[in-house]
Amino acid sequence: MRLPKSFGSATFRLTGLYLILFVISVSVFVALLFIQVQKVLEHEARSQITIESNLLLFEYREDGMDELLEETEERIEKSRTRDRFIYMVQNPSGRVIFDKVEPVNAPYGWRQTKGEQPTLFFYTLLESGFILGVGKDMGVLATLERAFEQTLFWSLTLALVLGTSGGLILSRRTLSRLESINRTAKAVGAGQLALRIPCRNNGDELDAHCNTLNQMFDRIEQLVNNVRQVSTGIAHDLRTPLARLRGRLETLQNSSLPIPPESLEETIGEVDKILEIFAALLRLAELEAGSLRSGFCPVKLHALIRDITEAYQPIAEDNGNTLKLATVDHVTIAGDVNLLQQLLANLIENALEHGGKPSEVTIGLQKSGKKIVLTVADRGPGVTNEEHSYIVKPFHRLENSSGTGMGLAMVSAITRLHDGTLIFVDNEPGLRCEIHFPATSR
Amino acid sequence: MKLLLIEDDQATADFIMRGLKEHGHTTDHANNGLDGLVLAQNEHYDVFILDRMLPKLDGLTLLRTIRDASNLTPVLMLTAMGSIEDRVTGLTAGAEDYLIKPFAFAELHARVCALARRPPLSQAVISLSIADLEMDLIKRRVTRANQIIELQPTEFKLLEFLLRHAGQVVTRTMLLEGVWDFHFDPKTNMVETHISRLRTKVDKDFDFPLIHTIRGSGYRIDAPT
Repeated sequence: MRLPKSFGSATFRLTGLYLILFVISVSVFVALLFIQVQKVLEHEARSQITIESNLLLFEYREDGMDELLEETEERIEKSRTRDRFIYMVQNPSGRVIFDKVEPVNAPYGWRQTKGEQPTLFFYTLLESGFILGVGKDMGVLATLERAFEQTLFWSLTLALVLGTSGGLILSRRTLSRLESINRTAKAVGAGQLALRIPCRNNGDELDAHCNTLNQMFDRIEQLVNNVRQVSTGIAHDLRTPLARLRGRLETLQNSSLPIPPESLEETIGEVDKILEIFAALLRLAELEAGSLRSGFCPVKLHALIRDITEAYQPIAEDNGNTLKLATVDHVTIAGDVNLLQQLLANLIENALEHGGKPSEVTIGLQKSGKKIVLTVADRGPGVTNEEHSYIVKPFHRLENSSGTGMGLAMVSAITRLHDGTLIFVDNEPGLRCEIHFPATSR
Repeated sequence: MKLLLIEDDQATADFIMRGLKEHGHTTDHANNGLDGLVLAQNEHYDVFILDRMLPKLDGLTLLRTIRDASNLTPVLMLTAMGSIEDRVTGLTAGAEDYLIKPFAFAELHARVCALARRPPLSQAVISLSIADLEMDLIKRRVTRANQIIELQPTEFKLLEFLLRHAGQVVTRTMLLEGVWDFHFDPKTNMVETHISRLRTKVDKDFDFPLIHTIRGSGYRIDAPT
């Protein structure tokens, strides 16, 4: 599948969405701010006008109409230079005495004009029939509105430009990483199982994703290698007993003598051996699939060890070997009893067979902190470090081994099913198999 | 005994029927699930031998159907699917025992006999005996010819298992499952070793042996005739 180009990518769409949200919120913010500032300015103007108007009215009430006219004229002169208030006086016949403004009619009180030169006026009807008006030029409001509009326009333009280009860059970067994931996955799918996605180790989501995928690839590679190994193993190992079986049957067929029961028994033995290998392979496959975890129950490992040791004790004794228990702590883990029994039985059988003559096998179970360690150790010739990695492979057999070569493969698979780790340690002399279970798996 | 074999593979069916006939049993055979169900519901049998994969009606469904109809005839299930999960589904569906193909006829025969004589579960047994051997399950004491025999726990369990199937052949696998609860085949001759130890204690110093080896099949505890 081709990945979409930058504009259609998920990252770009997300950036776009974010940008729209950003533009809307900035606009609303600026509008609210403008309304608030306008209100404050208007309120300020109103209170100034009220004070000024009251001052003039005070003059009028104290000293009469003439004094008011005189005072107003004086203030007009001052306000021209200081550009503060606008004054008007209209006589009872409706003519404006000063200043240069339009006449007004009742009702009086607050009046606001818009347009080229917006103003705010307060008109009072005096007892003499005259009308006094005090006002202010509100041109500052229009200037403010323009300033806000311009700020909004430029900041939004900038946000759009930066957001779009940023989104493009971001989506390009994400796309290039996704493209590398896609390429690697395709190559792995095509059979290059050893390929891995390059990780940046910066701990982001994409990196976590790459790591998960790489782990999946590891597992796939491991499973495929197992299958290869097993099929090669089948080809080599089953041929030998099958060929032997065929030879035996041929001899029996060509023989003119009656068939002796021992040779029939031996033949059945050969077939059983082949069946045993098949059974082990099937079991191994079942273990590898991991579906058995659903049936896990609490298992008392110490009780299991005791039972199995008891079962093997007479066998060890009869062959002149010793089988003994070291420290066995009380430990319960979540697991499958049958499989854990088999794990332990396989380890004990291996140790008894390969642990020297006579062999001395010690079984232990220790719990310390977060670690549960099950040990089966012998004092035999041991196994070299190089051999450690491949003695757990299916069909691998030591010299003179009587087994099918499945024992340790089974142990390893059962250990993994229980989230444990199988470790081989030099017992100086001998081999010590340690199985570390996580203590949390209860 | 009268047995019903439901098995679609003709060669396997012939081999089983021939063997059962040699041991004096009457066997009816159905080669598909539906015919098997009809026979199972209309005739009386001591044991059903049921293949798991059958044409027309598979073994598990057949088993559930007859169990739903309160037919409690013991069932031995045969299967080529030997995984633990398969075995568990078979047993939970109501099979008494499970045998994985390929198997030895002796194994099948021993298991069929064990099923046919399985005592009802409610019947509490407090002692077992054969000839001059007695086992007290409460005191966990064994005597032969009034002499006390000291047994290890495993030896006691082994003898108890043999006595519970007195007169019948018990196979190696049956012992591994019944005494040790091992559902795998150990490489070592575990059963042989333990039986030999048990024999030393139970048979060696007495007039006649009780534990007999049945060549190619297993063991049987029996009084001399």
